[in-house]
Amino acid sequence: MSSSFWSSSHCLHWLTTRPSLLTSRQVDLQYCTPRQLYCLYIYFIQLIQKLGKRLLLRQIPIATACVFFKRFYLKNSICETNPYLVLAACVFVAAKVEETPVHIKSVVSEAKVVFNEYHIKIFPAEANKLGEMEFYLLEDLDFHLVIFHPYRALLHITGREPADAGKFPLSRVDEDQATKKKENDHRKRKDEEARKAGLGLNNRSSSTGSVVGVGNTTDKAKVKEEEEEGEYEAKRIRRLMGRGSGEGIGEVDEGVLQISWFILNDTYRTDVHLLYPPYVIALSAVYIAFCLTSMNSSARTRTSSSQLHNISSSTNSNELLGLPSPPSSASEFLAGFQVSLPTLFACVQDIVCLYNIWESFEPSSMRQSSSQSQSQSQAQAQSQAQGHAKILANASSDQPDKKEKFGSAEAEQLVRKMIESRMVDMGHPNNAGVNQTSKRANPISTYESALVVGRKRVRK
Amino acid sequence: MAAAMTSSTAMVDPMHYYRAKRDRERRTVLKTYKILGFISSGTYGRVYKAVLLPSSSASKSGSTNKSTLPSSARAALSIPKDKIPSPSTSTTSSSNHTSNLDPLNNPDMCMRPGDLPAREGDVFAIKKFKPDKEGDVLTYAGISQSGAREIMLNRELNHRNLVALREVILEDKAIYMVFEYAEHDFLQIIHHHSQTTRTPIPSPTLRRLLHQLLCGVHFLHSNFVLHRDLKPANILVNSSGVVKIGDLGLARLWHKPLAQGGLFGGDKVVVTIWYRAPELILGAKHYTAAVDQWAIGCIYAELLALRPIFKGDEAKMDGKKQLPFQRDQMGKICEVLGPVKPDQWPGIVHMPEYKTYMTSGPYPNPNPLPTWYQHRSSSSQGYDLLTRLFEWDPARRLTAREALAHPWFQEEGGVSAKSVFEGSSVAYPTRRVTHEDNGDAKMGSLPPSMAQPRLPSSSNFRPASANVTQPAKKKPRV
Repeated sequence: MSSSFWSSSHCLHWLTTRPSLLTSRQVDLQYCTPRQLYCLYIYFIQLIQKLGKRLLLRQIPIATACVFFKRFYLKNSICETNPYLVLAACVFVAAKVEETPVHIKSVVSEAKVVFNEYHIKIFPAEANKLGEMEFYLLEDLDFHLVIFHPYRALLHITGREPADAGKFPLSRVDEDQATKKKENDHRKRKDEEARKAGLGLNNRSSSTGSVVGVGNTTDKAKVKEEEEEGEYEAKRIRRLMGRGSGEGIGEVDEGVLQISWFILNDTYRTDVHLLYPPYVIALSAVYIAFCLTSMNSSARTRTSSSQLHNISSSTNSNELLGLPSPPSSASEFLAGFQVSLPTLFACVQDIVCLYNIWESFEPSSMRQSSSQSQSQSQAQAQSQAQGHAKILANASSDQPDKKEKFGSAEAEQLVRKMIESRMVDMGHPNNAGVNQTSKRANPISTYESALVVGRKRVRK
Repeated sequence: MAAAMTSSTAMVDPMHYYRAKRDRERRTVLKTYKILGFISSGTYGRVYKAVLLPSSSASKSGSTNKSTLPSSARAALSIPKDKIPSPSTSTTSSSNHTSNLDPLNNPDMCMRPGDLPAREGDVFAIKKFKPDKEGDVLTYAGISQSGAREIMLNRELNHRNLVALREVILEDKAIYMVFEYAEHDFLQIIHHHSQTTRTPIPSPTLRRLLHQLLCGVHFLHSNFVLHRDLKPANILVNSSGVVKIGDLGLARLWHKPLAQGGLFGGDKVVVTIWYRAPELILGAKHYTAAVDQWAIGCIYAELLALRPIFKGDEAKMDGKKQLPFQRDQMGKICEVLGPVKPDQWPGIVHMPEYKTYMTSGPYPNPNPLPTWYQHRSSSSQGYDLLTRLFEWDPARRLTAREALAHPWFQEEGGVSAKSVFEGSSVAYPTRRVTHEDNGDAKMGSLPPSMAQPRLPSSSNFRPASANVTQPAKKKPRV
């Protein structure tokens, strides 16, 4: 279902385990090292993003295309397909699914431009081929096209967007305004009554207020107003909390939210979208963002005054409701979620692993220079976005193993070599893959050991 | 070295093995289903009635298999009880060579996760999308937006009042969507009452039809889906009297960040003209689930009156690709509801076409809706529901959730009965299926020898006799 993750095709059919993920990559691992394969996925996702940007797609369609691509290779091997054709088809389908369709011919022509930049020659620039690939892709995706991205989960967790949007006849804002108006009218009437009744009102009003008003007689009117305000706010929170809006749960400042968002963008280079539900990914991003901001105080952006107001109002309202105040510290905030911690940390590690490998594959300095054509402000935003990547890459790289240079040029060569070797092996079924597997030890164990190394680094 | 590499990749397509593998695994439509006849066609393509064939793995021989056909399938196939129809015999025997372990043609084991299990003899409606053509040659030009939407939403959503998608098959550059079969639809029921029996739809039936329709629409809306093409022809009813909403080709998810231009940006024109809400006629760029609610109001009225309530003429697009103002449709609405009063819809002044609306008047001023309604029903609650669905202001219009709670649904024993037909003595005709040459040789329902002399179309077609249906030879499967 498209409203509930738990009954969605995403949850029921497309969350896999690490062992089965490794099994699905057995064939490719005969032709490259686990680390090279990891880099190849970074490379392909990079190409998807480039192509998406050229087609003026937004982040969500691009993210959907990335997930389609990863899902496709759960069932297939890079070396037995043309990954460039596959990724173009992913972008083409994702654009339709996210309601920003692009014409098949523009996908082909833009893909040609992007792939030329990378000296990729095996992309067949024909609409017919792309259309055919679209059919195969849809079949391999089992026609499950609705993807749950962690962006919404992030906004829910941080209280930026209600989780229930659309479930109620009125939007929260509208309902809020309607109630506000009603309560205002009510208050006015009450005020008038009070004026008429004279001094007799004091006892009554203090009994209705949910806060024990101990204001002295001099600014009684003001205190009363605040009381009423408080009463209104309390009702409002209760009503809005009843809608599962997450309001008053906690406050995450804008800087942390921003960094979490950028981390989510990066997660599409990893496998987490095949392994964990979106809320775990979102929470992992928040966790990493909290760690970064505490590590590097300069990265923390100043909280705006409006947010300060929000935080204080949320604190007040929770008090008024008789609820515990929203957690002030990151650890308390994170502990408030009922999530399996081992799962959360496994996801965090999978994300953190990315940065070291990514940095050696494509140094962040290069990433920036490639975007020189963009406007100043955009470049600035980008460098800000990559700040966290640098920190994370540095944090986890005690000794970056730069045995051999492996960048996008090498990736392009490797893809070609893999396809060719595979074809030779398929042409001679008797010795297919035999030489390869004997050359290398069990690929699973090497890949796992690489991961373990990565994780140990993270722990340091 | 590098040159040699590129030349060799240029020679052999890297997708060669992949394609071979995929094509081998593909299960074809005609191996899985037998086409019983042609139902309808539209701009999207054609719909066929089909029956699921016995799984080739289970069948040892064609003849033993035939006798296991359930009676419902026999009826659907128009098979006399003691006779084995020869066309289907040829179908099964031709695919007998597949191994017993082949899961692809075993209907109980599904082709892919998410497919609905089914038994042989179950009847389905297969929607074949029109393949793209370049001249006379079939090409891939990409799946249409509506095809993608329909696949995406039907694959994800599952509800009693929504037509279930069994599976999708891609074959020969065409898309086949296999839906559960529904014997009736709202249009056919309305037609039967207006043309054949000339009696109104019994009110318990009408109430349950509307209630189940609202259940389905509420489900869609709570899943962030706007249908945007609700009309009697798209709302089906199966033989056990359950309403099934169909055709999600214009439906879309709306909780996702909207592209520039919002809902309007994607599709300039939504909802069939007679069922189009006033905010759409007035050019609203942003609209809500209320557009579906207006259409439900129109359908409700049509169930009562047995004819469309606002039957306006559609203004065609002029040469400048500008959307014309649907003056006639707006006029038809005003003829029944009276012109919009400012207090009924304060926001109307912000509508892009508001000025056009004001200047294209004057619209007649009667409000015949109360008398219109009294001619057809005496329930004041029923009238209340109708007027609340015909609320001009989309923000005030009843939502599906509110409508379901309307007291009218509790009248006359309520809507607890599962079947909309319960207690009704009206027998509705079954869906018309024709056997004419339908312009698609592949999807013909008859063997070539019979398809040649065009047979008269009739809903109760039976194979003329067994000796005629003797096929000339086994038809090779594509």
